[in-house]
Amino acid sequence: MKKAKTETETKGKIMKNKLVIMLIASCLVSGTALADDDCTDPVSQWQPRDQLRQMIEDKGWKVKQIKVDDGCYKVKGVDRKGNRIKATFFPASLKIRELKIKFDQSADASDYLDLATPMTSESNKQKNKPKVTID
Amino acid sequence: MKYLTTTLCFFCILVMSAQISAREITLTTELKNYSGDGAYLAIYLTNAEGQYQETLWVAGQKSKYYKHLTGWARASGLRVSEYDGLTGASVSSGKTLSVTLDLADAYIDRGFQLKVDTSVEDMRDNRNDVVVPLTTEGAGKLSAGRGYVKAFTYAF
Repeated sequence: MKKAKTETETKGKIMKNKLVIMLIASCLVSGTALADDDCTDPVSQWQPRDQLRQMIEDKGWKVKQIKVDDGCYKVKGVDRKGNRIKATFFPASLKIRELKIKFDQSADASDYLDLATPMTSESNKQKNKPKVTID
Repeated sequence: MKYLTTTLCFFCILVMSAQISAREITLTTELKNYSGDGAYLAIYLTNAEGQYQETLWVAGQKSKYYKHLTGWARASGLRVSEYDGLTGASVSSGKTLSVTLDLADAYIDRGFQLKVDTSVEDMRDNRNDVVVPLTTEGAGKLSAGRGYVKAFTYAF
């Protein structure tokens, strides 16, 4: 009788341990999932916002807001054609991480997609790239 | 053997036809000695009526200043697809820009014109700084510009 009681006790302990392990594992998994959305560049290596602003404005975009979120620079603005954009950049390298563009029905998406131009003409352009010198 | 000869003939015809349809042209633009920053230039083709056909080269890397190349900007609509892969550094005072490219034969001796628009920061924008007809006869002849261009020539 006593033996049977101790057996059920150990089984219960094992179950409890399993639950705890599963809980920890799920926390770790969700932790990595969350970390995937963050930028992890060390703050000492961050480039100034003004540099990012200049870089974007050189592209012909207009910047409305630059904020820091999840360790990344997040930019709201409009592109050359007036389409609304939301972009995320790595703060150290200023490389783009995510880009969302909202096109209106009458919008011009040619800056991003040039479906009307066949691939062959593009490859011709590459092949016929001019040779240029400045003396 | 016969098969080889036929293949060679086909290959030769193919190469020759490719060479016939396009010609190598070198566009040379020498700038005056003005006092100012590097000049932005747009070299492009129009038909006899002045309608835009094709961008050949844009000197100057910041697209936000392209609107100052007024004639070209208006004609090309400043579409990236028009100048993608055809841009480079701006040209300083007194320097010479040489651009060598393959140009379709259909543009030569058919009334088409080469145009150059120029612009310098805080200085005048020059629409049609150079306008020259694209002909075999005109090759090698110097043309003076109205703005920052001292001399413009093209050679095949």
